[in-house]
Order: sequence, then C-alpha cells, then structure tokens
Amino acid sequence: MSADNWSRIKVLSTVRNYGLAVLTCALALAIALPIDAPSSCFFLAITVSALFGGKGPGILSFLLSALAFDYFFLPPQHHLAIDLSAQPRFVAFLVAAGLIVLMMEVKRLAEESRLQLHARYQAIADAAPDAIVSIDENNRIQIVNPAATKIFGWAEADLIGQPLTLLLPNFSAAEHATGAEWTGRRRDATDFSAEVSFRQLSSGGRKSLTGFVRDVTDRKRADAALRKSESYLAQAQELSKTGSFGLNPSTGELFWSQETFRLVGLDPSIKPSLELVLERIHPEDRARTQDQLKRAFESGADLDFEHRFRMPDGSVKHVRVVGRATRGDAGDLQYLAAAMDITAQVRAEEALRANERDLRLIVDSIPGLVSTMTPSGDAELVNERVMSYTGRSLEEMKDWLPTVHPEDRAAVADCWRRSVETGVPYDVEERIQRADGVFRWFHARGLPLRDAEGHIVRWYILLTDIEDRKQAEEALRASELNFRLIVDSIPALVLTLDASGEVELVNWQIRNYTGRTPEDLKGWESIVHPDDFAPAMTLWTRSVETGEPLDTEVRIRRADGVFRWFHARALPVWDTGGSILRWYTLLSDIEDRKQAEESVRVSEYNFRMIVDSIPGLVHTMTPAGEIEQVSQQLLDLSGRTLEELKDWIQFVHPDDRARVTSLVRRAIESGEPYDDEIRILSADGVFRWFHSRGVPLRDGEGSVVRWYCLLTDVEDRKIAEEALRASERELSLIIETMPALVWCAAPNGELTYGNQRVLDYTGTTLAELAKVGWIDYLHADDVGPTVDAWSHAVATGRQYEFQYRLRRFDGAYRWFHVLGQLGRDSEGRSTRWYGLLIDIDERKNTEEALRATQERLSRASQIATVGELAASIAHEVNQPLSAVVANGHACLRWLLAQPPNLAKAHEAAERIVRDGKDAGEVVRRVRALFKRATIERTPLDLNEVIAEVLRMLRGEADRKGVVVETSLEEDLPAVVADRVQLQQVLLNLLSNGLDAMDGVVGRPKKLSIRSKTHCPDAVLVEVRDYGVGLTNADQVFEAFFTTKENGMGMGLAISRSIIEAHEGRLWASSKEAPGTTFSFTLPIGGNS
Amino acid sequence: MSSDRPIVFVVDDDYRVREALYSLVASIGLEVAVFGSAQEFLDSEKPDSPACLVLDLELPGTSGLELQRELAAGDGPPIIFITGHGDVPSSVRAMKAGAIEFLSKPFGEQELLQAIDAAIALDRKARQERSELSELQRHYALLTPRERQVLPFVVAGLANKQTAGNKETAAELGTSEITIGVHRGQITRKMAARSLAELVRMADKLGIHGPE
Repeated sequence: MSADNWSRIKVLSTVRNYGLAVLTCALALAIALPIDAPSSCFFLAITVSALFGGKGPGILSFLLSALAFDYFFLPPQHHLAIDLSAQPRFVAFLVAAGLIVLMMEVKRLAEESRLQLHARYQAIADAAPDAIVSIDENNRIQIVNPAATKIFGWAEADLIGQPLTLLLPNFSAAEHATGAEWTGRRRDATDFSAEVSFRQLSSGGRKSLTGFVRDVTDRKRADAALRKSESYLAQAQELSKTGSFGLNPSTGELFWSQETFRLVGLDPSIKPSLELVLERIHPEDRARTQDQLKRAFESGADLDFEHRFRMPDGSVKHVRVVGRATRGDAGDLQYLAAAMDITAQVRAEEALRANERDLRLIVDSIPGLVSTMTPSGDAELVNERVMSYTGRSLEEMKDWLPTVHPEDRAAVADCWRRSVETGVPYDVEERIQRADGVFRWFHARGLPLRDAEGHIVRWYILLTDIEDRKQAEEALRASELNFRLIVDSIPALVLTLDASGEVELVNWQIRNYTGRTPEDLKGWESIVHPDDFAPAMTLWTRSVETGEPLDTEVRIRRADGVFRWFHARALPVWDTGGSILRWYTLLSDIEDRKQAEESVRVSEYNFRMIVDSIPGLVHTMTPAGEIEQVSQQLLDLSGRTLEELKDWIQFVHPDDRARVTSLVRRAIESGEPYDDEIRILSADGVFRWFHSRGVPLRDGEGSVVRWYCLLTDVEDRKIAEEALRASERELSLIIETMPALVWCAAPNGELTYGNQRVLDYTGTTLAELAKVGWIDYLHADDVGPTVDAWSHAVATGRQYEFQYRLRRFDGAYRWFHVLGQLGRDSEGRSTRWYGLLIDIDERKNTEEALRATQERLSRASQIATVGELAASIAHEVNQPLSAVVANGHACLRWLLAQPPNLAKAHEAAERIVRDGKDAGEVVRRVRALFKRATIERTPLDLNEVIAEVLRMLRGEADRKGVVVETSLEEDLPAVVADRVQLQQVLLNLLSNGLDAMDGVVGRPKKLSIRSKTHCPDAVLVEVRDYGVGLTNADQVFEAFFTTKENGMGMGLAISRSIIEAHEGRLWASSKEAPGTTFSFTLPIGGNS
Repeated sequence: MSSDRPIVFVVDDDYRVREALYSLVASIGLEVAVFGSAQEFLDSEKPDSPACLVLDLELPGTSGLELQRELAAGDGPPIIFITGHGDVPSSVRAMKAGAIEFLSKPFGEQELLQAIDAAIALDRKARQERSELSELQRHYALLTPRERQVLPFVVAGLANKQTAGNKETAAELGTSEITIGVHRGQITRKMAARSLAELVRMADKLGIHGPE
C-alpha cells in the first residue's frame, strides 16, 4: 500500500469519526428534546464518539453537547447565554462529560498500545525460527507458529486441538525444565532431538503452557563433530608426543593442550604459567631457555629451541619447542607453538655416538693394523697400531705407499688401483717398514663397504703380520732341497705324481735308467711294455680315482731298449682335509725273479696239459681244426672209423651243431680253449650228453701246435640236472605264485633273491634290492632295529622274526611281519636264508586303534582308582590330624598342671597351628588334583560308548562265563557328554554286574544292557545283572559302601556324581528278581 | 640300671605325630623316648624299667607288625598300635599277636592314656613274674641232678603221704625211702619254699610237672 493511499484512508477515517460525533450529538438532541432528558442522551453521545472516534471527535461531541444542552435546555432557552452558578446541573454535566471524554481517551490509548504489543509478539512468533506452541491445561495444542508447522510438518489446522504428545511423544509438563531435551516427532514419524522451553501462563483461572521447541539435531551433530575432531587432535598430539600451546608474552596468557600438560607433567586442572614451565625446566637449561625466550619476545622472532624438563620423578625429558610468532588484533605479539618430546631421538643419537666410540675402541684393540680408505683410495682413518707400527701420524699415512718395500711397491700400487677401480676385494702380501726401519711381511686384505645402491662407501683394510709364516716357508723350501738329495740317492726308481696322476718329480735313477727327462716321462706309453700298458693304466686310473695304493708289475724299457720287469708300488699321501696330495711311487727291478717264475709257469702248463688231456674220450686236432687222432674209447663209443669221424659234425645232435661249430671255429681263430656240452650219437643210435673240452698246445713262440680235446660222458648228470631244473621251475612257480613276499639271502646276510611279489611291491629290481639295498626301502624309524635284528640273526643263525614298515612302489609304507630261517645242507652247513614277508598292516592298524582305546581306558581306570586315592588322602589327613588332637590334649594338660607349664603349652599350641596348616595343605592339594581333570563334552552316540566298553570287558565276561545281551535302540539321539566319564560309568556298572554274579550257581549268568529313548528329551540306559540283588538300593551309592571284598566303595558314588554332573539320573532297583537293574538317564543333546 | 619310673616308647615315621605324642605323654609325667623307625628303636639302649611301646602300623623299612613279631621273641614291652588306615585285617593280626590296643588316628587322649596305663601295668606285672621266675631258676640251679629227678615226684603228690609216697618214689627211682626223704628236705630248703604247696606252685612256674 502506498503512502498516498495510507494518508487517504487516514483522512477518510478522521472525517468519518468526526462525522460520527456530529451525528451522535444530533441524534441525542433529537431524542432528548421530546423526553427532556438531555444529560443521559448527551452522555451517551459523548461516550460513543469518544469510544469509536477517538480524542478529537470526543471533544467535538463534548462541545456540541454542551452547546446543545445550553441552547435547548437551559434557561434562557434557545440562547447561549449562561449563568453557570445558577445552573449546577449543567456544571455537573460538563464535568462528567469531560471526564467521560478523558477516560475514554485513556482507555482507547491503552487498547491501542495493547494491540500494538500483540502485533509485535505476533510478528516475533511468525518470524521465530523455532517452533512456538501453546497448549491448554489439557495439553491440547492451541496455538502454533509457522515455524512449528515447518519443523513438525503438520498444517496449523491439523495441530490445533491435538494433544501435545503428537509432537513431543514423551513430554511431561510435570518433569519439564527449561531448555531440557526431549524427543520431537515429525509428521512423517521421524524423531529428532528437541530443546523445549515452556512457561506456564494463568489467565482467568485457566492455565496454559506456551513455549519453544527447537530442533537441535544439527547443533548436536556439530557438537559431536567438534568433540571428535578435538579428540583426534588430542590423540594425534599424544601419539606424536607433541603438545601445542598458545602464548601471549605481553599478558602472560598461556593456553595448553592436553598433551602439553602431560608433557610438562602437570595436572590439566592447574592454570599454566611461564613460571611453572621454567620451574620444570632442567636447572642447567633454565637460564639459557629464559634468555632465548626473552630475546624472542623482544624481537618478535619465531621460537625454535630445545631444552630438558626435569620431571618430579627425577627423569629427564628432551623437548623441542617450535613456535610461530603472530600479531593479534591489537598488534600484540602472540605465539602459537608446539612442544615435542624428543627424548627418544636424543637417546638414539647418544647411543649412536656411544656405538661409534665403541667401534673406535674395537678397531684400536684389533691385534692387526686396520685402516679405512675412501672410495677413491685415500687413507681415511688408521688405528693406533698402524701409527705405532709405522711411527707415522694419520696425516703422514695419507700417503702410505712409501711405507711399502720398494720391491713390492709397484705390485701393491697396481693391486690397490685395480681394487679401487673394480671394487674386487684387495688381497696382497707386502713388506711394510716398521718405525725402526725394519721391513716385515704383511698380508693386506681390504673389503669394500657398500651402500644400499651398491656404491662403495669405504674400504676396510686389515694388515696381518705374516713375517713368521714367510720365514717358515723359506725354511720349508730349504728342507725340500734336502729331501731331493735323499731321494736321488735311493738305489731304486722313485717318482712322485700329483693327485691327478701327473708326474711331478723323478729321481736321478729313473732319468738314468730310462735315459729320458721327466718331461718325456709324461707319456708312459713310450717306456712301458705295450702288453702291460693297458692293464697297468687301468689299475693306475682306478688308484687315482679311489686313492687305493697301486701294486702291480710292469715291464719298463731301459735306455738301451731292453724291457725289464719292475714291481711298481704307489702310495698316496693325504692332507688333513682327506684329499690326496701326492703319490709316491717306487719301482723296484724284479726281472730276475720274473724270469724264474716264467720258466716254472711254462713247465707247469705242459704238465697240466698232459694231465687234462689223457683221461676219457680224447682226440687231437690240427691247429686248423681237423681231427688228427682219436682214442680207442671214442672209436668204440661211436662205432665209427677215424675217417668217418673226420666229419664229426654229423654225429652231433642237430640242435647243437650250429653252436658247437661256431664255438670250435672261434677257439681255433683265437687260440683260446673251448668248453661246451653237446649230444653225440653213440653206436647204439642214442644221443648222449658229453662235456667237450679242447685245449691248444703251443710252442716256444706261442703258436698253437695241436689241440687236445676231451669228451666226458655227462648223460647221467644231465638227466639229474634236468630233473633238478624241473623241480626248481616248479618250486619257482610255487614261490612266484604264492600270495606272499618270499626272499632268500646268503648265509652272510646278503639278499640274493626276492620273488616277483617282492619286486612288484617295491617296484624295483632284484639288482637294486640285492645285498643290502633292501634297507633303503625300510621306514627310517625301523632301519636301526631291523638291521640289528637281522645282523643278530645272521651272526647266530637263529630264526629271524621281526616287524617293520616297508615302502611300497607308490611310496606308502605298510607293516610287514618278516620271518627268516637259515637252511642247512646235509652236512649242517648253512646254505641260505629263506624268508617270508607277511603284510600285517591291517592288523597293525587294528592294534594301534586298540592301543589308543586302551590308553583312553587307562585314563578311565586312573579315575577309577580314585577310591584308593581317597584312602591315601584319608591317611595323609589323619597324620597331621592325630598330631593336632594329641597336641591339643598335651597343651591342655600343660596348662592344667600345677604350676602350669606355659612354655610347653605354648610349644604344643604352635604345633597345633602348624599341623593344622599341614592338614589344610593336604586338602588343598587334593582339590588341585581334582581340578586338573577337565571335562570335555562332545556329542556322543551312547550305543557307541556302550560298544566300546563291552569290547573292553569281553575278556572278563568270557572268563566269568557271563553272557552279555544287548538291546540297543537304533538311531538313539546323541547326548552331549564327556566320553571318558561315560565310559567310566558304564565300565563301573557293567563290571559291578559281572562281579555280582560271581556267586551265582544253578542259573545262567546273564548281563543285559539296553538303551532307548526314555522320553522326548532323555535317553535311558539299563544294565541288568542276574546276580544276588540288593537289599538297599540307595545305600549302594554312598561313598565307601561296598559289598565286594576288594572294592573301595567309590565307583557308584563317583558314577552317580558323573551322571548328575551331566544333568542325568542314576538309580538302582532290585524289584525284578533275580538281580539288580542299574539305570541312568541323560538329557538328549545335553544341557545348554 | 633299674628303676620303677615307667617309660613310653613311641615309634612313628611322622615327626608331627612323634612331637605331639612326646608332649602329650610327657605332660602326664611319664618318661618318653621317640623313634622315627623300627630300626632306630631296636638300636637304642633301653632302660630296665616298666615300659610300653606306641607303634605306628605303617613304617618305612621294618613295618609295625614285623617289629611286633621281632619283639615277641624276646621280652618286648606291650604294644599299642596306632594307624592312619585302620584296616580290619591288620588290626586283627596285631591284636592276635598280643597288642594291648589298636588305635585309629586321630585317637582320643583318654583312649591312648588308658591304653598306656594298662600296658605299663601289664609290663610291670610281667617284669615281676620274670624276676620271680629267674629267682626260682636260680634256686633250681642249686639242685643236684638227683634232686631234679626227685622233684617231679614230689610235685605229682606221690610224696603226699610221706611213707607211702617215699616208698613208691624210691621204687620208681630205684633208691631208698630215706634217701628220697633227704632229697625232698634238700629240695625244699634249696628252693626256699615255705611249704609243699609253695614248692608245687614253684615247680609249676618252672614248667615241671609230675612224671607221666
């Protein structure tokens, strides 16, 4: 609306108000005239005008009314003259009317200001960002502002009259406190944190609440974020041991972070101040730090210094302070600074310095000359010994080459240059001049130190004094010369060869005999007889390979070309490391002996020839193989003439012809004897087996002169052999087809045979197994015992019986039972071991499983011996207890004596205390003992446990002649229990049952065990014996109650406690005579 | 050394029991000697006075029962067994072998002290009897062989009626009545018997009975 419009409206309103005043006065006059009641009517007019028109119209109305009253009603009528004193009624009217105008004005002004105030509040309410809600005493919403509709999402109309709980579900006016937080709920049913401030208003006896609801979700989130970032900062400071602080030097204001407090070691509640800090600073650093601070404050420079804190506990902290100087708003100096705990770094640096000192010490204490060199090869550092040896300072040693002996200098410099250039370790022997001018030999070794990239950082050189070694070497050379002299004067051929067989040294005699130089002797071929060369070289090569001494005889050519026999012996010399250093060879002349031997050999040969050739069917052949002469026997046998026999091959069995022909031909060609078995047609037309043997006779030149041939009838032997072979074949067939592994071994224990099954099983060949190769197929753990057992059997000839694991071709090991028996011939001589290998792997596994079960059982029986344990515990406790009782009595008696013997009483009382403690200790130990037995509960099939226990007891049941009957429900639900404990319970019940029937005569001994589902959540196991029965079924569960002669009476008590620990029940009943039934239940699936 | 002050021996391998029993027995004014094992006890020198032995059944080495057997051979003191086990077979054996009492640990003071009293009384009596017997034996040793031959006849009452008795005895021994009478007088004198009745009681104690 424009100002123009506004003023027009205002004018219009003014005109209307004044018009109203005139109109009401006119109306009042019109009414008053006929009824002559001017006062009342004008009062009314004035009131209406003032009330609705305001001040101006009111006054106008007052004036008009006064004029009209005077004019029309007061004498003189229709005249304005007035005598006020004569008209008190009029005066009263005027006063009253004036008052009315005044009052009305006051009232109107009050009203107006009230309206203005209201409008202002309305504006505030409308503009407020928080929800404003007003409720009546019934908590019904009466007023809401626009923000409320926005915050809660409800339209204003929807809210009015609704309960406040619509917006604040759990708000309670009674518990309300200003600014408290409640949960606000939006129209979409989402909640938020609301800060609520309500105030109660009372008007007209009605109470109402009006207040603000502020959505503080964002603020809370911001708060949380702030807290988090603050905590991050604090943690970061804590982790880095860095505290921060702000400082205003002019005001002395100091702000510390949490970590700073921790760093300084002050409680955060203390107000920090520079004085406090200075106090904490190490006294030695205090003045310096103060000075530094002062200078920084004066110049406005940044802070950066280190100092130490001495903490109250006496420890020292190294702190580095870094601060940035800034100017505040007022231009004053302020610092924002960080204080870091650098104790660890400082310590590390100190340690490093200490290390370097130590290193220096070590280097100085090394009993050698040590120096370090730069990568470029200059001396960097030398140790004390270098300086004391050379008598030069480090500076002088920078140029170290002059200290080296002039003769070595060039080589050393060269070697060092090469090492520096290539980085290869430096290794040289050199003479270095001592301070007194003497040169000594040193062994110099240098190694480069490289950095991570592999660049050489430094060279470390160690010089070791080897003067003594050098001198020793010199002495050795001298002694070798001496040795040489000795060797040369030995009257035999002596030579030495190196490890590979190369000639090293020969003595003078060899050079003299062969007329050759050592170089010529490298080729042995030239001096060894051609016939001897190959065998001798074979032997020699083997000796060189194996290190075995050589011992042979060879012919060696003399300088004049004559061969003489020599006995050659070579012995190796080993170094300490076990490798051959050198061969020492001695060749001694045995020509004369050889000749003597040769003549003996020839005559012996002739003699043997005669002996061999005479008996049997004999014939001779020409060197070409033609039959020359035959003995009479041969003619008789064959029934042929000599001429017929020339073509002897036709009398040989057709199957043998080809073989014998080629054999004889080969023999004739080579001059070697032949030997064969052939079938020859005898006069009676039957082929008989003959052993045919031919030997050549040679002349002095070695040429064959004649063949002497002998035929021996071997028909009978052949038949026997054939029978033997057949029997062997059969035996072999049996052995090979036998479903067992068969082996044979020589009497000395070497394996000679293994049947195909052995080979198939091991997947190898007999050759590999032979001798002792089979040991490789044993399991590593079995090798030792097996070899012992076998060696023992072989040594004693006793039967060999053992068990071991043998590796199958696929690498799997199986258990075998091996049996071996030594076979003997008719004279009782050992012939051979015969053996069998029986696969017992299955049995072994079963044994293993059985053993495991027995182990478990043994644990069970350990628990079962608890009864005996209890007795021994009783004894243990009784000892101190009886001492306590006796001491007690003694104490009393000493006290009651006249006069009382207090010393003795005191002693007795002390013993009571001591022995009482002992008894307690026993009890404590027992407790600890039982605590150790932990219980492992797993889901169990009771039937399985029953079966296990029955297996354990089968032997006993059989022995006692008890028939065990089982009736086990199939698919019995599992129980969660400790297997060993349940085994123990079942073992106890079943063995009780067995024992209970010991005295039964005249009726079958029967033990029945039954399992079934007892009810939906429990299984039942019943053990019934047909024994003597019980008189009191409950007494049996009491500890130490027993009906048995040897029982401890603990079994059933323990059994019951076990079952009860499993939330089950164990009871006995003898109702179904004869015998007793023990029953127990266990919850299915165990207790949770 | 001989005294009438009784002594109680305690043999127990448990030092606590030894100490306690020592104190208890000493408190009633008896002499006590304690030992840790049977061997210690056997090796010790024992005073010649009335005694009793409080003996633990379970001992390392020689057990209580073995010690009891060993002592039974000589003139051992009466034994009171104490045991921490208290099994029936052992107690039966101990009692059969003449133990005074068999006490299970822990035992009451009265049980032990009563047993000790009884044992010492028994020992005192036994010692008394032993000393009487040795006195008798000393007297008996004074008899000549002939007198010893005669004594059974006197005891058997053959000498009741002096004449007839002496006659028969003389007939039996192939000697004269007068000689028998002299012998009897000598016997009565040497044995220091005040009457024939006493002589008969003495003979009984010495285990001499009438001729078969």
